[in-house]
Amino acid sequence: MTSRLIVFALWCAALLIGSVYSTYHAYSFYSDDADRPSASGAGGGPRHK
Amino acid sequence: MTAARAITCPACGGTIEVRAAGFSVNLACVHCGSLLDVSRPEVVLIERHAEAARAYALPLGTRGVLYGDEWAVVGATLRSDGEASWQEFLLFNPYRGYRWLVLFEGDWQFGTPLTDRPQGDGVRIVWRGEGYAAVSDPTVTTNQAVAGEFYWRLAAGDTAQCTLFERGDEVLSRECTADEENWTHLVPLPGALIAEAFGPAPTQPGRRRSAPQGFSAAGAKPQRETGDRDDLVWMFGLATITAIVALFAMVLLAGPVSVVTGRIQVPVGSRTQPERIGTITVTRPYQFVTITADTDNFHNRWVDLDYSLVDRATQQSTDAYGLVEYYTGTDSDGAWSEGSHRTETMISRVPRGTYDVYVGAEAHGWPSDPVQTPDAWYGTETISVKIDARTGAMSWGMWVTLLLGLLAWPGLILWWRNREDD
Repeated sequence: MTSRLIVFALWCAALLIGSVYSTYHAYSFYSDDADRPSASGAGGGPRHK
Repeated sequence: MTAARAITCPACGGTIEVRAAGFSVNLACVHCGSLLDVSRPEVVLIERHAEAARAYALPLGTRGVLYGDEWAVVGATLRSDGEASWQEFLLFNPYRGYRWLVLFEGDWQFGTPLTDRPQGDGVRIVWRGEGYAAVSDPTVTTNQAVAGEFYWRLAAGDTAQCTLFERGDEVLSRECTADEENWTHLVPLPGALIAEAFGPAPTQPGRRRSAPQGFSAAGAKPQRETGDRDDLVWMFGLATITAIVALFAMVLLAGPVSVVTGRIQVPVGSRTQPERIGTITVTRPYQFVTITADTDNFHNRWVDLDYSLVDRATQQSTDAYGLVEYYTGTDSDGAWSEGSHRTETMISRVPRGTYDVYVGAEAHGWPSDPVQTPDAWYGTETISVKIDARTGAMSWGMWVTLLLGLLAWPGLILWWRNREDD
């Protein structure tokens, strides 16, 4: 096993732990909390040009 | 094969066989490792070594057939570029001359010294009509140990500067010392072929390291490519396994599922008061809540949706928003449409509890609200919105992010390698 592979394995473990931790706490970069969609307020309408 | 010559080591008294007698000028005692000059009738001790000769993957004196010729392993050296080390073996056949075997991280290469020098600069060279690209900057490598006999003066501590040029699996190695420049052509050789020719390796070197930059004093050098390719396969495999394990863990941790559905009617051009759809229960410490709004078929309208999850125990409200919009029209390019009749909103970090789901809405027309006619037959235009609120969803965006993070590393290495091959 090369040192590069060991570092990559550690990287995989870190990502796995991070994703499990974020799921347990129901955290996501992509949630829609408090983000009001852009059409509101500024008036609706297509952005088609 | 040529006749061998037996000598006695002046350092330890051991009997040593000179296998390429008449060709070899340098010999390291297989018993004590001392370096001897065998170019003259009287054997002269060049350097005394207290340490016994290092165990190499191929024992000195071993004979084997490669490419139809019988070769004897007459010399071995351990080389290092400061980051990695590897073994090189000098092969001898009295009719063919010298060749090299290079062992790096379990991978073998067969090296042939070149008599015709490649043309080109330090980046790209041409040899026998084929182009080779440099894969490393010139790197200083050092002989850490020497055993057996060589056709030039070689001793532990000798250094040389090496540059590697690759074309697919083939490698050209240029080695420069103060006195000369040597080129070697290297091709990969299956380990099974080495085992068949020379027998199983009796001993393996110490801990192997990755990604060497080196080459040999005779022009041979390890090929980084094969070892890298092996660990690249492992990287992709590890990434796949990690992604699958993470997917299972995320699905398991996302549940259980609690669902409530309902429908609201939204008059176009006005706002509705928040309406209670039903109740959902979050049973884990935290869960995602996703609210999906599906509307009937409309054109040139949009619906703003205000969601509120009200905790029955604390009356605390968690708010989120949704937007459904769909537009159509024609222009100089023809008909167009934009938007969707469906939207999904994901609320994160909703703590454990029982929640009443409230939905308020506001609908409008584009470019302006329709004129409402007091017609008893048609009434006011309304948009029907079906609401589905549920717990137990997982964030696919997070999983895709994880997947990108896992594949970025090996993907970049693969891209870089293909770029070099091109």
